[in-house]
Amino acid sequence: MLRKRWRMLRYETNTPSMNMALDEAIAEAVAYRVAGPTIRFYGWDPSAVSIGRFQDLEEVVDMEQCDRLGVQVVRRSTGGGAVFHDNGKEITYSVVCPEDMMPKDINEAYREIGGWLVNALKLIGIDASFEPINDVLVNGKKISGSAQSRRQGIFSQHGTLLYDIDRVRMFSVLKVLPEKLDAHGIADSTERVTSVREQKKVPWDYVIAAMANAFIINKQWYVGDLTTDEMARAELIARERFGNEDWTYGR
Amino acid sequence: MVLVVDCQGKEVKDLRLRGDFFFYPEEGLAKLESYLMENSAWKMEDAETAITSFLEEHDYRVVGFAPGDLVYLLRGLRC
Repeated sequence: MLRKRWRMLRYETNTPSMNMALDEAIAEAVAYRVAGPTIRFYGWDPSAVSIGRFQDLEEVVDMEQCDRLGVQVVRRSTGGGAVFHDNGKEITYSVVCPEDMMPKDINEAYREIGGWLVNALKLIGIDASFEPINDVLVNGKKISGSAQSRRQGIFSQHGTLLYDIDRVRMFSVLKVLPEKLDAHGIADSTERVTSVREQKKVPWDYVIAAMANAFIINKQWYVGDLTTDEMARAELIARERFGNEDWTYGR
Repeated sequence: MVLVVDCQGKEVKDLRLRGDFFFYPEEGLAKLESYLMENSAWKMEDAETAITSFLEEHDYRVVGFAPGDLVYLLRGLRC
């Protein structure tokens, strides 16, 4: 039963390296069957840019501006693009489970969890749609993106939902590549994104509750906690990998 | 996607793929890069078929670029 019953972790904030390390530690615990499938909601303190596993940091992030604003940078273990996690302005989720609990096809799995986000937004009165490969759009603008990984039989996906947005701050730390703009046909990159609050003035707690409700629908679940072992393992992973400059600047 | 090449004179010493793509499993990308280097993929006649076979053989999955995109970059490789 442990294998199929979802553990829901309450929203909490952590440092960037700890956030990434916790997702890894949970994946390890699920792989070793000491934890069941897990849904986690979290925030970032301090604010951070997470970059994709294969990205060139200096090509996509303005490091001097990050230093000025006190924004940290962390390299994810998942692919994809750079994301600005502004403290108190976005909600990150992660879903970790045995691979056989998700569609085998990568794109279908993105669609499935994208559907959960679409449903969460519907619960707060926002009409959204899933846009392949991995985005959720509202009125043609991105409100959520995600990155998926599959390793040792474990599926994990983390992604973000923009609650509010400070465009100047966001695009002062992210460098947007010219070809990316062309691909979307919009000259001003800042207009490609939107947030929950731009669409509807909904309190933060309502959004988290809507996400939790949409994510656990039709599942057996319980509200749980991280184990001491998961925390200890995460602290080690944070120190050795995600908080390590060799990892962050490397590749 | 960007192909980063280290040259020594006119010889390719190393190459790396960078960008906002997804590669499953992530660790496989280094093996693809080694394969491209060891086989001087930029000199191959049918690099697209070779890369496709390599990915299939190892059950590697890529989201965000196709073997043809990689071949396009390899063809433009100059030291």
